[in-house]
Amino acid sequence: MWIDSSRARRRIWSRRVKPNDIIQSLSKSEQRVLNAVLEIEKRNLHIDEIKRNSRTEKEIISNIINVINKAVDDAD
Amino acid sequence: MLIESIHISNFRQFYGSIDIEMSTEPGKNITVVHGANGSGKTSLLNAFKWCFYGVTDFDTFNEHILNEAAIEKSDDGEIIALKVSVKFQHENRRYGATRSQKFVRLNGIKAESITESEFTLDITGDDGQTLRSRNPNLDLRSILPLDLQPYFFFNGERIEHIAGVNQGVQIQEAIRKLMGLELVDRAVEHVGRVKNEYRNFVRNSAGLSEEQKELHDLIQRLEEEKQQYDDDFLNAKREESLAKNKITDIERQLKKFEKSRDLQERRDELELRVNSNNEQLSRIKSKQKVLIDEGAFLVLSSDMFVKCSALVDDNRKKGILPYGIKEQFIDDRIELGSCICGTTITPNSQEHKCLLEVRKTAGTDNQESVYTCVSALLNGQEEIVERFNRDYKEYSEDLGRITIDTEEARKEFNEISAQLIQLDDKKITLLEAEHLRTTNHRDNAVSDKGIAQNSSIDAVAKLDDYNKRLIKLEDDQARQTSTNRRMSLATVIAETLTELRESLSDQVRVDLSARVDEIFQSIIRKPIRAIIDDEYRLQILKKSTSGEEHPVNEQSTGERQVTSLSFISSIISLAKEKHSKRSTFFQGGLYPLVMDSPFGSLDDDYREKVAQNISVLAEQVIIFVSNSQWEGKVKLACSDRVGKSYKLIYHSPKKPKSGNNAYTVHSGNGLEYSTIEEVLL
Repeated sequence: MWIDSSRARRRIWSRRVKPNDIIQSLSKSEQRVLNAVLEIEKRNLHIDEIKRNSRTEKEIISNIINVINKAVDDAD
Repeated sequence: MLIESIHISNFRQFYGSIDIEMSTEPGKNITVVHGANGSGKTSLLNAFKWCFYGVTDFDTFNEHILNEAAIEKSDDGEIIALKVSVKFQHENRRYGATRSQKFVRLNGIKAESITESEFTLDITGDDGQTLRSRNPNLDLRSILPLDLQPYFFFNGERIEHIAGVNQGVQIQEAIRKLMGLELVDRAVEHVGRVKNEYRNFVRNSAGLSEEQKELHDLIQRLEEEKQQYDDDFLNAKREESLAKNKITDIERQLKKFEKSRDLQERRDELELRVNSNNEQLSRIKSKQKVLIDEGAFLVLSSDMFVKCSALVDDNRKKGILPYGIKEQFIDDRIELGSCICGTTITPNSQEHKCLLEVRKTAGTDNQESVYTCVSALLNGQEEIVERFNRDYKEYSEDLGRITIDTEEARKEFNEISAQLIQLDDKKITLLEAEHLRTTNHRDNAVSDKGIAQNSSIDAVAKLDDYNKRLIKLEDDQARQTSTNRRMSLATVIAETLTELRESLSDQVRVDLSARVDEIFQSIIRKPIRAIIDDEYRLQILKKSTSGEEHPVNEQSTGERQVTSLSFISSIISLAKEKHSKRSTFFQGGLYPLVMDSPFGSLDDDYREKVAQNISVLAEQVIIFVSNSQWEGKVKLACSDRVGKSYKLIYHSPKKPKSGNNAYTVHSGNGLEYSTIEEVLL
């Protein structure tokens, strides 16, 4: 059963915690990265299905990498 | 989405062209089309499905969708066009969706298609410019996803299983798509890929030991494997659910044939018996587990109890137990320097030595409490063991009895299947062969689901282990490299997104559960309630006299329809609400309800309540209903919300026995077709 796995414990925990509380548990800079990632996804939401290794997916991944790199560089 | 109109040409009963304008007025959002049986209500519903998705749910699928009168009235070799166009508004744009197909008339009253159906989608933006979509199917499905169409376009007489307990996967999918959770799903997937990119970079950087490189490889491979197991689990779960639905459908068809009806009904009874047995087995096993957890140690340590009992008895006989005197009491006397009889006690005196001798056999407070507990346990032990043995035996007997009963039911199950296969009816034989194949497929899916679940659990345990080993090998300096910090940040974001997905899905589930029950309660008469459980199954619960709630396994067709209607209405109304309060995560949406015979198997009271409730839940409601179902309570209950009303007129090649009436007229030209007429309100 899932119950025995740590993933299940996290899953049960996640179900009980409100989305805002999950976000608040991140630091401010982590929250900024999370928002930026969601913004990137939102821009491509009109595409019905993003195929693996497609140009669109590569572009999304590259944009997320840029966001993360910038967050770490800014912290330095 | 608001449907403005539908144009139908030579589709099923509709010879030539018909146009229906839908009501888009808020407050008067119902469009009703009423007609006699066979006049084309189900065809109207299927005209939408065919136009949008190229599918229909007729028993003959798309084989006979071209109007027969159109074939009859054409000459051999003449081209006949079939076309359905739907105009609708969505997100400040207007859309024109058209599907058409060309046929050629053959010898006899036959026609065959000469082209595949063609689908176009024209989009008019705010600026008034109309553009033709390059990917019309993709664009349409992003507005009305194909797998969600059963929730928007449905046949009321066939919806009783739409929200059954077998539909957990479909319900979860519907929630995910309708509520816009796709955003988080995609982010989870993409950030996971980003994490792997960083891992590759770290793996190939200089200064890493062979062991570290190997661990990085193992972790990456294992993460991919785990993802695969999770996908396999979901696929197997989906396959299981689809197989269950197919089995239900086959069984429904088997009940339509006279030869197989009794056998199938018996099989239904057996199915219920097996399900009820399985529930009982699971309940008894849980009770037995609690019994073993709490009492097995007493039984297993019986020998120790006997020895302990003998020891206590022996000490009692010797007068050691219970302790007559305590150490503390003697210590107090020595400190005071006097005995209770008044004798003075001086150090090293004879009296002092006597007291020290008595102290050796005196008990402590601790020993006293242990003695009290052991005595109580020894006194009750026999009764506890007796009770344990009695309960254990009872549970074991129940388990045995139920298992035998299940085996017998399964045996009869197999016999019924063999009898059905041997019946002298090819349709039944084919259906039963399909039933056997699907049952086998379902069982395989159940087994695959378990394997994938266990493999995923193993992978999680191994991943934890490898990650701990990797952390031990990394020194602080390595941990501070920017790539490692980037990977850690990607990991935090990936984990947060996964948690968000769980939390958001559950939040919607809880909201939806409350809404389903609210609608359900406003219609249903019985003291039962509807919930969407943790596994996203719609369950109907009933309170027993002891106050305990248990799932209701059997519902009438009418009640199942009410359940499904409550579910569909609640999902559409929640999507509408989320749409009005858009947040980062929930897009929601405005969806229409297009229903054929929504009052199918409902009695008068349920019809009235459904009619009162359903119109306020969706942005737009389009109902195709028989004239008999429309008249009376249904019409009264929703007439003030009807914006457009039409009646279907069936043109019969034969003169109607009671002469022409409002719904049936003599065609006079030997053709059979239907036309539509607006009814002024």
